[in-house]
Amino acid sequence: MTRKYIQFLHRNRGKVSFLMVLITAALGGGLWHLTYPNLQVDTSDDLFIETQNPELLKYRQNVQEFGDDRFLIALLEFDDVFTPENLAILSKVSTAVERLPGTKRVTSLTHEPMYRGSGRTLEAYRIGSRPPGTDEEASRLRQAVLDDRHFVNHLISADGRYAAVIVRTWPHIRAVQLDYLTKRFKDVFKLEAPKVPVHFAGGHLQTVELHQAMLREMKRLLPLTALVIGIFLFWIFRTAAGVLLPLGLMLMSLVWMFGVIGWLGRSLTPIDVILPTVLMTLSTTYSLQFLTRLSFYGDCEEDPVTICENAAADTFFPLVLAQFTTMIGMASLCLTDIPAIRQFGFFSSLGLFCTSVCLFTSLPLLAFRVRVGTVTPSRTSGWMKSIAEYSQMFYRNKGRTLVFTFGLTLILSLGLLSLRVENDPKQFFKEDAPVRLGFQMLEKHLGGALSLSVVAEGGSPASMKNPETLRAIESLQAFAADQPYVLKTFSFVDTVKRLNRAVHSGDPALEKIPDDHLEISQLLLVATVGDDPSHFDRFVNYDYDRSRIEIRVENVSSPEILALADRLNAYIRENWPEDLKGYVTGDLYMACRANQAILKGQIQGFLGTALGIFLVMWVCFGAAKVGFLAMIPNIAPITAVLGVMGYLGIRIDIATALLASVALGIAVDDTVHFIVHYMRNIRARPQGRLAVREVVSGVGRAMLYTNAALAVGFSVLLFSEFEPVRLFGFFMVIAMIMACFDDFVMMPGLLGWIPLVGIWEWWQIKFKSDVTRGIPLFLNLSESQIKKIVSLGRMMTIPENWPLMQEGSLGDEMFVILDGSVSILKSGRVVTRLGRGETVGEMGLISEHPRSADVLVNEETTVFAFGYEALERMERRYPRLATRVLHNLSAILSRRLAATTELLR
Amino acid sequence: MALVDANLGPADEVSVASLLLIHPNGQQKRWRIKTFYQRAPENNMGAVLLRFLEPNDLNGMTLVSINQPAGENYQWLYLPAFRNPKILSESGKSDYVFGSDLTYEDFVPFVLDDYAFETIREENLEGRPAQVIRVTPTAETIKSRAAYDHQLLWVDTERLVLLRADYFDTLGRLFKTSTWSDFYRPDGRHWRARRRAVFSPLRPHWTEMTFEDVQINRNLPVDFFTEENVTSLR
Repeated sequence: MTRKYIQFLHRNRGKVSFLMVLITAALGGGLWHLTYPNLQVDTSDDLFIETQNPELLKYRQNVQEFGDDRFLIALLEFDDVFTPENLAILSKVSTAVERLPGTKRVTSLTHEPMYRGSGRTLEAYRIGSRPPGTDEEASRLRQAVLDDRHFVNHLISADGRYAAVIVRTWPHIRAVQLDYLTKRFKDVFKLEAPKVPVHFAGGHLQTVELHQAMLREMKRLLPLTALVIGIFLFWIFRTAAGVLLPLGLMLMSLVWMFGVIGWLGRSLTPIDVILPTVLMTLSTTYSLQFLTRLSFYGDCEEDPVTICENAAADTFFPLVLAQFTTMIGMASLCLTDIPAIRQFGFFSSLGLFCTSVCLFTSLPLLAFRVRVGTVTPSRTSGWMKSIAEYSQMFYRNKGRTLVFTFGLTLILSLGLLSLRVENDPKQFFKEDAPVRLGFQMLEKHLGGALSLSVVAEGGSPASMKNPETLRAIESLQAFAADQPYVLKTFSFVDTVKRLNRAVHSGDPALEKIPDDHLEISQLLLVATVGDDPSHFDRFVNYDYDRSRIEIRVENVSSPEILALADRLNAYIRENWPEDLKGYVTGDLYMACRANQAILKGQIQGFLGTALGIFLVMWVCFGAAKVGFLAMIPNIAPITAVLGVMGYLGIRIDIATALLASVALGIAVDDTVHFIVHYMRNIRARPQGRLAVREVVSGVGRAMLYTNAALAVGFSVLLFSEFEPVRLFGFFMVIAMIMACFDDFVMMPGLLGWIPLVGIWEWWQIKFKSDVTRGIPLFLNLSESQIKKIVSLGRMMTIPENWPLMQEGSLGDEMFVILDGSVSILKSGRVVTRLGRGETVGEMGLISEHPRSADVLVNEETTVFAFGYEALERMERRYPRLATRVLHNLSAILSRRLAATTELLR
Repeated sequence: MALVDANLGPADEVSVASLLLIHPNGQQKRWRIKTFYQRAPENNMGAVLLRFLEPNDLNGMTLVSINQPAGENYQWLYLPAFRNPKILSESGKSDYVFGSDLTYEDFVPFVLDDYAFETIREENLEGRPAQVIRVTPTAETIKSRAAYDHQLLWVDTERLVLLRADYFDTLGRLFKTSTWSDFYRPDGRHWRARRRAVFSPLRPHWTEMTFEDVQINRNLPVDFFTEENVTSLR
């Protein structure tokens, strides 16, 4: 079938080539949609959480109600903020930022309501609308501002040197819009405050920096991967064709995949950044499998079509199977409910499909025209021979081999127990990256740049006007302020207290929650006075039944944030009144929560991949044990690698979360090649160790090359700017090396332990329907009865000219000739020759009589041996079957006796 | 415009308005407010008193805004729960009335000399003949106070009422648009709208108003807008 397909391709090479060019052009058109600004990397944290996660749904509802809790912050460094000039600068930049598209609200010292009361006057104004004109006024303002706890360490540092400008955006502002807003935000400071040192921070900035770095990363890693793989290919083939053919295939696959993504108009997520590298590496390994065989046949054939046919016949089936299993690995990621991982699964499966189509069409078409060169055997044949010998040894010494490999795997895998999950966006940046320094500055001088939200639900309209509710919120704020990593807290209660003080002529003693709900109601209405009523929307809703408390925290790791959230939740449960509910939420909280989703996605993806591969192997080889066998040498290195990560204290993050599924999907390719070729060999030669040696000698080189190509390809990720991507690359290389080790060491041991082709399968292979008719011993027996007999005996392959029996020797076994032939010799003279299906040595089985003649094997012969012990067991277990066999045996002996008598006459 | 001003800015006017404030995320607030308006004949300036009727916990809250000749607003705020009225000092420019889309400019009449009027075109709006007039403040006091750079007014030339007003900031962005509808003559003479919708696209936020019990030229006393009256008014 493969040969026919290649011939079809050759006959229609013009049409097929034209079709491929047409498809490439059509899909390539989609690449235009991927150019800036359409190429978007969506770094939203909620992409890493299951879409129906109840906490995510609540979080979205809260964003809808109170707005996005991420923001951009600029920290301006002055000698003294409180001078007319510096306040004017602050006001100017705040106003300019307010006008940027996407800005919902700007908070700064000059743009935040200030409440003051003296005598009969109540002032509610923005400092920016009444800037101090003299140093004296500025000095008075300094005193008033530093006396207001709301401003200090929020918008102004306690020493009056640092001022913050905080921008909140509309919830729909994402990806490229956010990119644009951030750029314009920074430009404002360059333009309006060129001499003032400014540090930038905030969740949005982190997101944008990540977005830009991802795009840079893709642009950098793509050519680098091509270059590294190109060098590797040249080392193997030493010809331009050997390099250009796989690279051309790789390019075509990328154009197809990204073209489709472009036409679909999808944004990429941070983990999609590794897609090109994964795809390029896989494409190279598949090409290598085909090209090494092409090269092999090219040495002994002239006709390119015949060369192609031979190479395709050797490799297409295992390649199809390998790609299918890998695709299952990738597609299993679609089973998770995490949008980012699901999308990666979809894109990578799509990419693999594109690679398959290109591989099975374009590569043979190109191979008809050019020769890829010769893989110099001298460079590798010595190694391969040694490896083949060792593999044979591992097969023979299966016990020790398996104890060693499983023991090693177990020891390494124990590290899994200390494996932790981490999803901290800052880990993507180096220690000295400006974005991390910005966060540090913010944390040192002001209230940080990240926040948790606590949402309080009163259950009935106006419940947030109840003094008891306000006190409960105040107590939570006090509790939170005492917790580690908490820098500052905000709520509408602060505003109520500030206003209460202001309406009482600025009396500091009355900066407290009023006892009367009418007072609270009226203060809450006064809080909406001014030119920006939205400043209050983010703390309490219109029905006054839900409110949000903002808790600014340091940029610490997610387990620390989650522990803080747990303490806050516990405090709410234990101390708040029954009718007041509360829970921690917010962008930062959800990002930390994504850990659990990532871990779940990892486990789901891994199990899905394993199950998918198991089923495919089962279906393709018709035996569950093949599926089982394909799993072990691939699961083992992955658990070992994850264990090593655990020992080294490296945490699972958004990139390394994919490691298990992707590595399993890829690593199983070699196992597929191993098993396919082993099955081909064992069917021709039912001796496992020889088959193992043949496989390693035959396709071992291609397996080594593909593993080397995988390792080389993934090693490119070591040049990534991002630590998680670097770690992904590093551990993929380790996983590939370990998988290769297991293929050559553990796999032979396993094959020795679990023979893939048992006696019965071999009988079936050899005799097909003749098994019930062609062998006199089994005359009138059903297939199930024969299977029982076969299970009690053993198979033997005897080399040419070796004696099977010697006259006069004792022996209790009879032999059924399955393949080959034997000669019966009496006194050195050939009496007769026996072939396939005939039996020899029956007398020994029945009477323990010394062998009456020599039996010499004419050519390499396979026999089924059935001894006295087996017969006894059969008599015990299946007495009726034993009677039948003995009857057949008597018939055989009678015929032999008659024939001998005839001969003596 | 003088005729429109005369129609819309009588000597005094009292009305009750139901306000529906709509947040972009769909949250709503309802208020009922009684408005007293008086025009000072000597300087053509105006004073307005807003008194909350509903919700109950805000009942009695009163805001008095007196437009001064110098261009500054003079405001009293009375919070019944705290008893003593307070002189309210705000940012001034573009301050929204308690988080609605209305600004104090919506309650005070034009002093025609402080603005430049330019008729841009005539068109039919919602079945009514309308002149589109561009209004630009010329007086420095107004320029410094007003939130807008210029307005476009759609004036019903027959009924002498505003059909629509668009407010643009210095960047040329439309930051507020107001439409009036469902006109009638409460006193048989002056046309008034039963409904007004105000939309602030930059916030974005909506306020829908329904007017009832409109009384024009009720002869409010000259000392109506005093501190004592603020606290004792029912």
